[in-house]
Amino acid sequence: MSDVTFGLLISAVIFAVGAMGVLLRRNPLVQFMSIELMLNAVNLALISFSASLGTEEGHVFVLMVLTVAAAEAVIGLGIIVGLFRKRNRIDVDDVHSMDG
Amino acid sequence: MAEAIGLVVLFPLLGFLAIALLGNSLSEKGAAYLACAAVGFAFLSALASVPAVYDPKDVFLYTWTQAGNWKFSFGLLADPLSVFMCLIVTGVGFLIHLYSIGYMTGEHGEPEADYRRFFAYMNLFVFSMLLLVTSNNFIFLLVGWAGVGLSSFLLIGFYKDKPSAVKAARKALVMNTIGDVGLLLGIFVIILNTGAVNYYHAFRGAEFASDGGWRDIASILLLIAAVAKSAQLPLHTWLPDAMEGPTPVSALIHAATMVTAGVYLITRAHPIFAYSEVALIAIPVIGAASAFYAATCAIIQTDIKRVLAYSTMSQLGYMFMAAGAGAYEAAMFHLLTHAFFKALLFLSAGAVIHAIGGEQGIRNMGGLGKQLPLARWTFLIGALAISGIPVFSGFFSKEAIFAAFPLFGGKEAQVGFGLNETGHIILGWVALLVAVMTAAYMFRLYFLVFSGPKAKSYQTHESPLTMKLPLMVLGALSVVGGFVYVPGAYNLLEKWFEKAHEYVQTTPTRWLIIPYETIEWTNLIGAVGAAIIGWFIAYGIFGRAERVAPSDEVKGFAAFLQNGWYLDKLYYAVVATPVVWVSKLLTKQADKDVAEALDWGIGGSLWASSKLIRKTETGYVRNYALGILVGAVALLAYVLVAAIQR
Amino acid sequence: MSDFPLLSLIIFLPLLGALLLLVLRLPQKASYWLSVVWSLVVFVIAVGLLLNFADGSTSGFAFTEKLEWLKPLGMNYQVAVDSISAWLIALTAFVSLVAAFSAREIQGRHNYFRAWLLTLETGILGVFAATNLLNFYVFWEVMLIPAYFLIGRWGITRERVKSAIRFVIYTLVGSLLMLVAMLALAFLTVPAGGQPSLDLLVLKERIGGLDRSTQEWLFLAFAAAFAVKVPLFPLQAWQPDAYAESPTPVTIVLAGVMSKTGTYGFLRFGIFLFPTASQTFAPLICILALASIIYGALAALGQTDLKRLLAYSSLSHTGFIVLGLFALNNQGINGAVLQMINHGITTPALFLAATALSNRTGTTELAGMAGLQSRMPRLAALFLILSLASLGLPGLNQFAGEFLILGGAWQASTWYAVIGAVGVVLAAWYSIRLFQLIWHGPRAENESPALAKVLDMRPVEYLVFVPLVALIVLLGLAPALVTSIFDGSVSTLLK
Repeated sequence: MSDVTFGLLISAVIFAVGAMGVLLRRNPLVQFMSIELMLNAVNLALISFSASLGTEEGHVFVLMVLTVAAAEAVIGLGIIVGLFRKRNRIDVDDVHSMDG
Repeated sequence: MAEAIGLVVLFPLLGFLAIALLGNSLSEKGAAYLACAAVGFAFLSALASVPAVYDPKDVFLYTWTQAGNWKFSFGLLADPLSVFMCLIVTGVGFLIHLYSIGYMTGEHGEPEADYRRFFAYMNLFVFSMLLLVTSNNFIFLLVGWAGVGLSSFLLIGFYKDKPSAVKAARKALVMNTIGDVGLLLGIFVIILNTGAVNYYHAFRGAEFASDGGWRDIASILLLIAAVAKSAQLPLHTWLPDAMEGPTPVSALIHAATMVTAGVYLITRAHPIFAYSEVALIAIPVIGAASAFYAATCAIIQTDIKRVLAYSTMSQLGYMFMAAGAGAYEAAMFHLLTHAFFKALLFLSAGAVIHAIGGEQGIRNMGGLGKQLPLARWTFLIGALAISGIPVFSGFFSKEAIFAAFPLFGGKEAQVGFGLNETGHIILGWVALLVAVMTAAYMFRLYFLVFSGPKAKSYQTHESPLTMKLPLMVLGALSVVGGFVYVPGAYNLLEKWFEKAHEYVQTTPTRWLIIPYETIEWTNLIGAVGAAIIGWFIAYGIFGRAERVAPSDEVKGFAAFLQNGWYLDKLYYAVVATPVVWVSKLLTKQADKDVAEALDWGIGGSLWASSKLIRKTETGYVRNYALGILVGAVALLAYVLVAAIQR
Repeated sequence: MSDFPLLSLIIFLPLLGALLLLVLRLPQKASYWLSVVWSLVVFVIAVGLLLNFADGSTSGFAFTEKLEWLKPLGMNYQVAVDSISAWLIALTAFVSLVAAFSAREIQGRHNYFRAWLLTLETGILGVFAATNLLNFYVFWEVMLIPAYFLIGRWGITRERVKSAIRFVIYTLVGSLLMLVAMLALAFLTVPAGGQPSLDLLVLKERIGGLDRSTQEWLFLAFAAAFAVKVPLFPLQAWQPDAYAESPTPVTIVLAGVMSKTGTYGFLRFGIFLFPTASQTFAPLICILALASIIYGALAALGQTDLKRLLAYSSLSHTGFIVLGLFALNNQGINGAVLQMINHGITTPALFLAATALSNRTGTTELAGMAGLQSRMPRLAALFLILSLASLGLPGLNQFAGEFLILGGAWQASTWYAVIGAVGVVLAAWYSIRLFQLIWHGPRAENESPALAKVLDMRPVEYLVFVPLVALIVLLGLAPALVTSIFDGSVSTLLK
C-alpha cells in the first residue's frame, strides 16, 4: 500500500465518520465538529495527492480551506450561540421554520 | 393691406384669452363689451384687408413641422375668398355678439350665470372660424376646423346642467370629429401626391397632375369633412340637437360660422373637386338630397328653433348643389345672403323666446305679432328672403343657383364629366320643389307664431337696444344684400372673385361665373312661382282663423318626418349602441376577468406545482444534509461509470 | 468638455441623491425640498445636454463614454446619446421633477419613497443613454426594482401588492427573453478570430452576417420585452392596475416616461439593430398597435373609474407611438418620437389633474362626480384643455404627433391610417364623455359632503400646471421646435 492510498483511506474513513455525524446527531455543536472533520478529511486527501505528485497546488488549497473553515466556524458558532440564547436548549430539529 | 388679415384673426383670440384669463377680475358687462369690441375690430381689420382681393398673397410664415421630406409652414392667406368669408364672419358675428349682450341678460337686467364664459366661448368660436378661412394651408384649416367643432361643443353644451344639452354637445363633437378625421386623411392624400399642404402648391400640383386618380380619393375624404361640418346627409343628425344651445349660438353656428365651413372648403379646394368626376356627381346629389330631406323634416317640427335648424340644412343643400355644379360663385353668394337672413331669423326667433321667458314650442305661441312688432317684421323679412320673393336678398342668390340648373335642359356637364344634362334637369326640379316647401314651412312658422289666436297670454317685456339694433341692421341687409348681382344688369361678385381662381391658375371654365347678361325667364318664373305656391299652402292651412294647430304627439308619417326619418335612431342602433355595448363588455370582462384568468391560469398552475415541490423542503437540517450526500454520491457514481466506460 | 463625463453625471446624480436621502433621514419637508431641488439640478443639466443638439445638425451619437468591464465578453459600460435620446433624457428629467414636486406628503417612510423615485429616474435615464446591450439590460432591470417597491409599498388600495407582483412578473418574463437574445446575439455574431461584442454599433455592423430566421427570432425576443413595457396588446394586463394603484408621482413616471423606454427600445434595439427583421414583422406589430389603439379606446369608453380610464387611454395612445415606429418611414418615426415627448407631457398632466380632482372629491369613481364645473371652474378649464390635448385636438401637442404618425402609417398601408383614424374618433368620444361626466350634467345625488367647501386651484397647483399647459400649446403650434432637432437622427437611424 503506497502512501497515497493510505492517506486517502484515512481520509475516506474520517470523511465517512464526519458525514455520519452530521446526519445522525442532533446537537448542532457535534454536527459542526463533524463538518470540520469532513473538511479536514478533504484537506488530508489534498495533501496526500500533493505529496505524491510533488506539486504545491494542494497545499494552497488546504490553506484556503483552513481559512474559510475558520471564518465559517465563527459564523456557525455565532448562530448556535444565538439559537441557544433564544431557546435555552439546542437541538437542530427544533429549528425548522424554513419548511415549505 | 394683406397683413391686416393677421389682425382679423388676432383680435378675437386676444378677446378670448383676455376674458378667459382675467376671469372674475373683469366685470360681467366688461367681458361682454370686450368680446364685442374684439369682433368689431376684427371686422374693421377685415375691411382694411379688402385691397388684398386684387393682390392675393401669403403672410406670416413659419415652419410648423419638419419630418424627412415633409416640411410644412404656417401662414395666412389674404385672397378674395378669405376676405369675403372674413367679412361675413366678423360682420354677422359682431351683430350676434351685440345681440347676445341683451339676450343673455335676464328679465330684470341681471346677467345669466356663466355670462363671461359665454362671451369667451363666442370669441373662441369666431377666432376658430377665422383661422379656418384665412389659413393658407390645409393643416391650419384643420386646426380651425377642429376649433370650430370644439367651440360648438362648448356652446351647445352651455347650459351644462341640462342633460339633453350635454348629450347634444357630445354628439356634435363626435360627429364633427368624424369629419375632422376625413379631412386629416384627405390631407395625407394631397401631401403624398403634391408634396405640399399650402394651397398654392397643392392646387397647382392637383391641376397639373398627370395621373389624377388620387383626386377622387382626396375629394371623397374632404367631402366627408364638409358634409359633417355643414350638416348634410348622412352626417347631419347633430344639427337639430344643437338647438340646445342659447339662441345667439344657434345664429352664430348657422349664419356666420361653422356650417358654412363645408361650402367654404369645397369652394376653396375647387381645383381638386372640379377635377374629380366622383365629387362633381356626389356633391350636388348630396346637396339636393339634404335640401329635400331637411325641408320635409322642417315642415312638421313644433320647436321654433328646430324648424330654422332644418331650414339651414336645406339651404346649405342648395349651396352644395351649386358648388358641385361648378357654380362656386353662386354658392358663395347664397352663403352671403343666407348669413344675413338666417341670422335675422334666429335673432328674431330669439327675441320671441326671450320675450316670453324661454318658451320654444310653437304650440304655446300664436298671435304674438302685436306684442312684438319688431320681431314680427324682421321675421317676416327673413321669411320673405329665404323664400326667394323678389327684391329680397334670397331671391337673387337663389336665382344664381337656379341658373346653374336649367329646368328644361340645355346644360351639359362643364368639364366633360360630372352631372349630365338629365342630372341637371332632375336636380333643378328637386330644387324647385324644395323652394315650394321652404316657403310653406317658413310661412307656417310665421303664421303660427305671430298671427292667429293666442295659445297662452304672456307678459312680454321690451327687448333692450342691444337686441333691437342687430335686428334692424340684419333686416336691412336681408333686403338689400342681394343687389350685388342683378340678372340682366350687372354682377359685382365676378369682379370680386376675379383673382380667386387666378391665384392658383385655375382655368376659368371650372369656376362658373354667374351669368348676368341674359335673364333665364323660365327659371325666374319657376322660382318665384314656387315661393308663391308655398305661401298659399301655408296660408291655406295655417294662416286663417280656423287653422290647424301643431301638435307634439303625431303618429305615422308625420312622426316619421318629425323624427328626421328616424335616421338618428338608426345611427344609435347601428353604431353607438354596439360600441357602447362592446366597451361595457370590455370593461367588465376584459378589465377584470381576463386579468384574473391570467393570474389564476398561469399563476395558479405555477402555484400548484410549487406546492408539490415545496413538500421536499422540510426545514430539518439533516434532511438537507442527506440530500447533499445523496447528490454527492450520485455525482461520484456518474463519474465512476463514465470513467469505466471510457 | 469632451472628457467630462456629462452623461454619467446625469445618469448617476439621481442615484446619489437617493443615497443622500437614505443617509440623512430628513423630516418630511426637508426631504421633499431636497428631492425637488435635486431633480431640478438634474433637469437643468439634462436641458444643457439637449441644447448641444439644438441646431439639429448632429445626427449621430455624441458624448460617448466607455469603461471596460468584462472585455472578453464585450461587456462594457458604454453610454452615448443622439438627439432622440437627448430629448427623452430631458423629458425624463422633467417628468421626474414634476413627480418629485407632486410628492408633497408621503405616508410612511417618505425618505425611502423619494429615494426609490430617484433610483427609478437613474434606471430610466440609463436606458435612454446605454449603447451597450448589457448596459442597457442592467438599467432596464434597475427600473424594475424601484417600481416594484413604489407600487407594492406605497400603493393606494390593498390590491397594491398583487399589482406590483403582476407588474414584475410580466416585465421579467419579457426582459429575460431579451437577455437570452442579447447573449445569443453577442456570441452568434463573433467574427472569425474576433471577440464577442455587445456594443450596439458593432452589432449593427455584424448583424448582416446572421441568417434571416435567426435575426427574426432574436428580434422577437427583444420585441417581447419592449411590448410588455409599452404595453402592447395583448400584454397590457398589468398596466391598468399598476397605473391605478400607484401613488400619483409614481403613475406619472410610469405612464410618462417608463412606457417610453419600451417604445425607445423598439426604435433603438428593434428597428435600428434589426432592420431586416423589423421589416418582416412590421405588419404584425402594426396590427397589434392598432389593436391596442382600438382596445384601449373601447375599454376607456366603458370605465367608471377615473384613473383606470386614463390608464386605458394611455394604452391607446402608446399604440399610436408603436404604429408610427413600425410604419418604418421618416414621418412615422418622427411622429412617434414627437409623440413620446407629447404623451410624456400630457399624460402626467392628466394624472395630476385627476389626482387634484380626486383629492377634492375623495373618490376616483366617476359615479360620485357630476356637474362640478360651477364648484371648480378653473380646475374644469384645466381638465378641458388636457382632455382636448389628449384627444388630439388640432392645434394642441398630441395632434402634431398623431398627424405625422398617421401620415407615416398611410404610406405604409392606407388601412393602418384608416383604423388609426377610428381610434381618433373613439378618443374624442371617451375623452369628452369623461369630461362631461365629471363637470357637466346635474349634480350627483350622492355627492360627497366634502365638496361643499372645496377650493378651486391653489397657487402651488398653478406652478405645476401652467408650464405643462404652456408646453402643450407651444408644441402644438410649433412642433418643428422638437422635430427639427431629431429629424436628422431619424434619417440616420433609418438608413
